[in-house]
Parts: sequence; C-alpha cells; structure tokens
Amino acid sequence: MKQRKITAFRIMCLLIAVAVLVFLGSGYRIIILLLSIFSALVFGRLWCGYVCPLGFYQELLSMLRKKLHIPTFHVSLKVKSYLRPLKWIILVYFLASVLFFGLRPVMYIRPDLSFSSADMSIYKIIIVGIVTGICFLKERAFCKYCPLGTLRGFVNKISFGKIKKDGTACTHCRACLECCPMDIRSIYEERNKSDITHSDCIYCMKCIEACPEQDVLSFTLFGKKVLSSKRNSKQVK
Amino acid sequence: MPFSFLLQELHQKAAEKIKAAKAHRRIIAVVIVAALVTIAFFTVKTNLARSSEVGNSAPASNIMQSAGNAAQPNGGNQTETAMQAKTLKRIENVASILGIAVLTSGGIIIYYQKKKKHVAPLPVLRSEEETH
Repeated sequence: MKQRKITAFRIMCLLIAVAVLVFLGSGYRIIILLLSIFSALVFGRLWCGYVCPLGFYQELLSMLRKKLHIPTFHVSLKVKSYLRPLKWIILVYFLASVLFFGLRPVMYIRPDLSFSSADMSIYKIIIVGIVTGICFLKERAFCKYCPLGTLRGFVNKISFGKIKKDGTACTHCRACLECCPMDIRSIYEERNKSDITHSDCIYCMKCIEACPEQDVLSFTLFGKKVLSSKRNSKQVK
Repeated sequence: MPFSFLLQELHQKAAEKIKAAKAHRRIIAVVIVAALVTIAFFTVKTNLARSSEVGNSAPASNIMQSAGNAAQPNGGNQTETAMQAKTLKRIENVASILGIAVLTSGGIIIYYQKKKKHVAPLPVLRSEEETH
C-alpha cells in the first residue's frame, strides 16, 4: 500500500506538471527555466523525478511494458562501462550547441511537441523513435544520459534533499538495487557512509519503497526525515 | 516415485518451452503488425495525397465554396487542404516515431533472447597425461 502511495503521488505530480507545461505553452518559457534552475540548485535532480515531461513519458512507456508483460533487459557492467562516457559526450555537445551556436540541440526532446508538431526533421524523428524504443524496454533509459539531468546531478551532493542509509541494519537483500531505475549501485554497496545521495539519483523513492527493513533507508529534506523504509510484514512472513 | 518426478520435470520443461515460444511469437507478431500498419498507413497517405492533387487541379466546383469565399476563389479549399496536409504530416511523424520505436525495441528483445539462448562452451579440460 505504501509503495502504491508514493508512486501514485509521483505520477500525479508528473501528470500535473505535464498538464501545466502543455497548457502554459511557450509564453512562460522563461519562468519554467527559472523554476527549473531554482529547483536544481535547491533539490538537485528532484525535477527529473517529479516534473520533467520526458520523465513522465518514460514512466508511461514503462507502465505499458509492464502491462504487456514484456521483460526488461539488463545491461552488463562491461557494456555500462563502455556507455559511461556517452553521458559526458552528450553534455559537451549540448553545452557547445547552446553556448557557441545558440541552437536548441537535436537531443532536446519534448515528447508533447514531437507528437504535435508538423514540421519535424528526419533526425529528430529518428532520435525520438530510438529513445522511445529503448525507454520502452529500460526504465528511465534516457535519464541516464540526459544533459540537463547531468547538469542538475552536479548539485545533488550539496542539495537539501538527501537519501540516507543505516548500513548496520541493512540485510543486503538487493531490493533497493533491483528496483532503482537509474541503476545506482552505491545504494546497495555502501556500508559505512550514511549519506548515499548519488549524482544520478532522481529521488523516485523506489529504494525506500522496496526496502523491507525498518528505517534502513530514508529521505531527509532540510535535515528532517520525511520518508523512511518500513518493515514489510508480507516479506517477513 | 522417480517416474512421477520425471514426469513432473518433463511437464515443467515443456511449460517453460511453451512460455518462451509464446513470448517470442508475441514479439514477432508485434513487429509484423507494426510493419504492416506502417505500410498500410503510407499507402493510404500516398493515395490521399494523390486524390487531393487531382482535386486541386480540377475546376472549382466544391460545395464548400460559399459566399464568404467568393472574393477569394478557392481560398477555403486551400486552407482546408493545408490543414489536411498538416494533420497528415503529424500522423506521419507519429507513425514514423512509433515504427522506429517498435523496430528498436523488437531488435533489442530479439538480440537479448538470442544472447540468452547462446551458451558459451566450457573450456576443454585435459588430463595431465594429454598435456605432457
């Protein structure tokens, strides 16, 4: 029930955000940009998990996949290590095209615009198509390489939202790692540090939802505990 | 007892194989349907474009041409055609995106299924006598 509650709240936030962004249109672009920067400075990548329209699109695709009972695919650690530089290459390309050419880069994808605009270049169609295909099979696949997300990730470590772990009470069941859409291994592997906020974390709270132990994982905002894992009676039985 | 156990094992293996085959069949069906839908869509679209071209070249005898359009002959028709073309373009974009998406995900699924089935051969173990 708890699991459903947090996910439902997140999906609701995403839905409201997408509705607001679509109905406001392009007239309020500067306000949205300022809000995005402010939220990134204060909460890190919280925007990705609760506001981003592309994130919502990816969540919808994952839901559809689960409904169709199509299994996800697991990328091996070797392939992941090969793909890691891609994130930085995309970020450099993004920054270069914005700063030096003043262009909106091709990879800046707005699914609502992609599906409603009549004049889309063939490159953009191909990129959106491939992103849709990959995100359908792998949850939040684009978020791992999103240049805006990477920029927000720099602030994650010093943001006011923190994911904490009580390493002594952890039973190493891997539930947190299995459900993490961003494949963050440090949630599971970290034993000594209490602050396990990773630069890729989008604060989806799925790890806290999945953790079967009392108060092992928790989310703190401005130093106050907002959410914590609860003992799951069903799993204990 | 051993016979029933064997039977159970056989049943389980058969069920697993049927399940895997069904999943594979479903994926192939989705890919084929996507390809057929895309082909059908483009055929319809080409036909529509052709018919609209024929309509434009024909003399203006449209019922939609009202008194408001009298000052600008064929004006209403032109905007309508432009709107239709835009809508068609939009549908074409969405269909292309979905087509590429289905092909990408289908390709990934098939690749991973083949990878799963492929069993790496074990290294050949040789006795000490053979090696010397």
